[in-house]
Amino acid sequence: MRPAPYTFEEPTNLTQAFVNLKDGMPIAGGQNLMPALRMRQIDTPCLVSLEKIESFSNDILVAVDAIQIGALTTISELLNCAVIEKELPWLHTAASKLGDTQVKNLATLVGNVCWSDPRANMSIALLASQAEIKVVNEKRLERSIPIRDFFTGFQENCLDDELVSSILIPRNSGDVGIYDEFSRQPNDLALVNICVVNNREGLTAAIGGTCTTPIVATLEHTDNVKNNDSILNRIILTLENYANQFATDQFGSSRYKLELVRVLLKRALPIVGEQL
Amino acid sequence: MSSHSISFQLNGESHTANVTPRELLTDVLRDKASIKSVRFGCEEGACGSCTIEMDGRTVKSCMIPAVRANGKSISTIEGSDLSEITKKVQAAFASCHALQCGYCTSGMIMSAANLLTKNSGKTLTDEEIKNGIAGNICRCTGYNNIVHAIKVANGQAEPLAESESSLVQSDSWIGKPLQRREDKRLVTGKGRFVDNYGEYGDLHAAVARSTKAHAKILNINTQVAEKMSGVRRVITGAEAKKYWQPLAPTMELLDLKLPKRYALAVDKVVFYGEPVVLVIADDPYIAEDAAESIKIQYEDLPVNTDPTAIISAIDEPERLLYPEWKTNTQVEVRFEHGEVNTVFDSADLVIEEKIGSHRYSAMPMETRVARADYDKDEDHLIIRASTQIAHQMRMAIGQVFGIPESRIEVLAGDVGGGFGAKLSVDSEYFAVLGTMLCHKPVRWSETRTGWMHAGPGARDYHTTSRAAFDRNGTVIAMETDIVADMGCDGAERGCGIGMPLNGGNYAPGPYTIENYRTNIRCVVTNKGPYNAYRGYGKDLANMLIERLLDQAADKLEIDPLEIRKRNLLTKYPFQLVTGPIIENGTLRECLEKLAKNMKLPELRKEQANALREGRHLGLALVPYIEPAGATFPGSTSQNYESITLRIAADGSVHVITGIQSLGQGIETVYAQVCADQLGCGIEDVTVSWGDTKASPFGSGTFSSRGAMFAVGAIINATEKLLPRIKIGASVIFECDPSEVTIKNGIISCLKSELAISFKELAFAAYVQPGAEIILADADSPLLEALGVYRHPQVNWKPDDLGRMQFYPAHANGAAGALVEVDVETGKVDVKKIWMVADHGVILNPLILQGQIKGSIVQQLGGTIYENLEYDDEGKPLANTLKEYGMPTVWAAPEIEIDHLVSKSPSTSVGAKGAGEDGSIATSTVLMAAVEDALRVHNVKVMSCPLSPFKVKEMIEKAME
Repeated sequence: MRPAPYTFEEPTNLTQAFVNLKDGMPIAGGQNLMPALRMRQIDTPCLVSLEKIESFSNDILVAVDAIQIGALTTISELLNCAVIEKELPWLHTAASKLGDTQVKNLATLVGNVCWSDPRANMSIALLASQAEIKVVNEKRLERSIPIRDFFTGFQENCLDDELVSSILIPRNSGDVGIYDEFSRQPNDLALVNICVVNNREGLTAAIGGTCTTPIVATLEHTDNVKNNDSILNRIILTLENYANQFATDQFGSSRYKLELVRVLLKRALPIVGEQL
Repeated sequence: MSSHSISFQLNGESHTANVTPRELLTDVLRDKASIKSVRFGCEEGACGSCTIEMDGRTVKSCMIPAVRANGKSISTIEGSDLSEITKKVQAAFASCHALQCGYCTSGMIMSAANLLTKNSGKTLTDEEIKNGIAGNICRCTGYNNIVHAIKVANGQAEPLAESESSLVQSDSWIGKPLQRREDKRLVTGKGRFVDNYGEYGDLHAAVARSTKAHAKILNINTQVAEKMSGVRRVITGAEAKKYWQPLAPTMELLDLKLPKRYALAVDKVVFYGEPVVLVIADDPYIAEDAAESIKIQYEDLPVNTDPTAIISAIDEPERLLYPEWKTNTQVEVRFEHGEVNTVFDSADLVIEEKIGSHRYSAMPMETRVARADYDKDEDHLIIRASTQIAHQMRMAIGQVFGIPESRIEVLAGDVGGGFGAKLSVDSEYFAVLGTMLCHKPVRWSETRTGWMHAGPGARDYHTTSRAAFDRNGTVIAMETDIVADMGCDGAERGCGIGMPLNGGNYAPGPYTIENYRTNIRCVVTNKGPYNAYRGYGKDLANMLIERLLDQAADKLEIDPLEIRKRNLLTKYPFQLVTGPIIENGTLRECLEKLAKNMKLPELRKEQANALREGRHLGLALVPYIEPAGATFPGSTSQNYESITLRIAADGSVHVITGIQSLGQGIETVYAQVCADQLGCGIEDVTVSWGDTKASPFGSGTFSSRGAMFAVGAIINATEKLLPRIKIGASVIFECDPSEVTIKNGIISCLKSELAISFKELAFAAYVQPGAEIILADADSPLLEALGVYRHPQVNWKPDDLGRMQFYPAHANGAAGALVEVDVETGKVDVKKIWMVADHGVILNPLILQGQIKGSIVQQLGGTIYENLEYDDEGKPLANTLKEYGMPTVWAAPEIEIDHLVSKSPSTSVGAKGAGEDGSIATSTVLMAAVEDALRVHNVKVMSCPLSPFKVKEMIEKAME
């Protein structure tokens, strides 16, 4: 199938972009949007390309305490960043498991997060990393949203006539973490995915695929991550509180998906513990 | 709609185009820049057939609005400035048989070349290669040869094929791993697929489909559609009845019932996605807009999705799909022989299991595509279509539209995969109706979602199967009760109805079972149609007997290999209790060789060690038979094939056949056979197909028949021409015709040592001095002959028990598998598949192995990943390739193939059919291997899919 009609705008500044967006949808890499448009699951009167907006870039800025990833940074570009590979290997793994080469070449980190699918690889990895989403509105006012407050429903987020301008990932030495997912075939959409990051304050686990939004469990002052069933049980308990029938589909029941998460976590925690 | 003027670099040259914002880059490249190598295979960016390079990065052009290509630099495989690496990859794909139908090949090569460019000079691991091409789906090859080809291009491996030029001195072309001739055009993006023949000004068809699985149509509102600018015609099913007859059935045998439906639903719909209204418009975008705007009101009828439940629903008229049938059973067949009840009653052991398989689909990379052009003044219709059966398509179109067949031409160039799913005519009628009404060429390209909802499904078997054994493990009786889900129909829109019939007929397998009963019911439900799929029920037969044997082996504590040896037929020819005669073969030998190749004792040791570490390895072996060359009375599957063989005045040799090329390499193999049989140079032979006007009537491509039927027809034609050549040469040499020999394109005289070329002989016969001198003593002055082959082992005259011989040949083999099951997640990892196959004399081992590998991975996909599942309302759950579970390169296991050869007694070359091995044995051997892996948990694996979720359910159920 082919998309329904729309107009196309390519604003060069944010003021113009927000004017265009009054009646349109933003497109960066378009790797989630285009299939949906082609299948006519959604339609929009106007596609607003973010590509030419001068204040948006594909830069990856490495500062002392954080890494800032631009609105237009693709997954491939992220994968080429040596600092991320070294310091945030879980983010690197999540990116490497996202789609195939062609998709990675166009898909953006910000787009993956903004599409707000509960199983989006990058959302899960960024949630565990306690990233901040930097957004801007038509008045060019900026605000910063902790990513755990970002997702509000299935493919829904808290953006309020705003655009994401960048994502900030804290850079703490000593953080260790792991990303893993369960999919039928590699590079496929994950049935469930997890990311566990341990830092000074404790352990953060982000889980996708069991609920309409990703779920985050934060455990303070954990020790003995390597052999601690109580950590696993506490995370699962959090998940069970939120688990709903949404997760049941042809690929498995919601109970099965919870079980998959339990297995992934059980395998991940000792690896995280080992690195501490 | 505002249009944008864009400019971009295309293969090194500047290009400009006017595009509307929604136009996809793939469309613009294809229709406005004549770049035909980029192709549609899906609508979600899964298949990668449209892969191009944009600013040096591979992207899927169908996921990019063309307007965004403004200012970019684009490369495709057509480029005259291709890099050396790309050229190496192209050459390696050809020299490794890394393509079959060629539909995905351009995109695959773009990805492979990009991978090698990025990693220039580096040795790549399998994992790195797989990562590089995971975004490109190939349905034919099973991926192994593609990975190998990339290694060859990177200097890490050796080619698998030999080229014609390297083999000039060959005594015989048959048996050589000759590189395919088809590949030259396919690796350069020049495949002759239907949609390449579109022209500016063509009209486009789209359909409004049913959003109900079973409902009466109350009202259709087409007003909005009809007013849209660019819409030429909107036709409802009721209106279309004026122009066409019901669908032409592919099968009309036994007492099967036909729905007699039209290509567009008239007063009710019987499946979700059934076409209801046809739209013809100026471009595909407008056609889809119009189709989407059509409002259809329905009155719900009860939906049937469970074939076993609705057999008994005959008292509820509303649950009948076709009330005039007074039943939902499309056909029921029973067969019984021997003392079944008595033997079961007194047996030492009776095994009874519910064995079955879910629904999945052949899913070729090219969907159903047609372009029809009706010339009203000439009353002549030309249709290009992606079909396996050009001649039968002509019959069907003639029948449905009342046009004399002599005024219809069907052209089928390269076909992007068929696998049985293109053995009937269904949506292709839309293009024909469109052109008849609008008097312009009309194109119809089925969307992937269209295929998911209304394309051919297959398998979907539900059985209760029993076998009786004595204490030594001898099968003494068997009974199969088979219910197969035809969806809305298995004989009109498709010809799948024979699959369960084959399943019941061949279930006793190559075993000496004398007491057998089968009851086969083909039941209609509110699902999409049911069509032939590679394996054609022989998969079911294999699954039923082999799964029962494994259960008995387990109960009686006999080694699974041993129980088979005790029951296998002991001499050939062997007649199954149901009638088929296995002419000869090597069943026992293949099984023994397989066990040896697998190094079973070592594997068992590895399995035991793994279990101690908590890892569950499983292994299994099963024999199989591959009945080939199907012929059925009351169907378009006939027992003959024909070819035209022509030696032209310049000595070139032309073989024209009704067998259709779908990627199985006929252009190469038939040239090998022709060169051997006629003695001409292989370089002088051209093989053509897919043209109903040029070729004699042929039955088309199905049931692995080419190696017997087309080869037989070529031999028949050469037998007619050889005496003429010898007589002609004897006139020139002034010798006796018996003193003339012909080899490698040289016609020579044994006595005088004079020699002439085919060209010299042909010119002498055609022109100077001419046939009245050169061929005066020959039976005909023409260097052209019709070759016909009729298989002697077919017999449609029922014997006393009503049994017939539909399949004239039986290849055989044995398949082995090693799997690992993650008991915590239910995930099955297929580590390796082994196969020992006997197809008689091998015509081209490279192509044979390609067919076997492809069929293994295809069936592995169906067994583990793929699923055409429906919800209770009859709505398909899979709309896209990803949801469906199409196997990518990651699904392909290591494969090891070996051969034995028992020459077919029926063809002079001695080949049997080939190409379905994996389709027949893979499900069975994987089920058995998974069961073996989970033996410690007492898990019984009696059905597919072996998806993680289902396997986990099996484990949990066993542990309860």
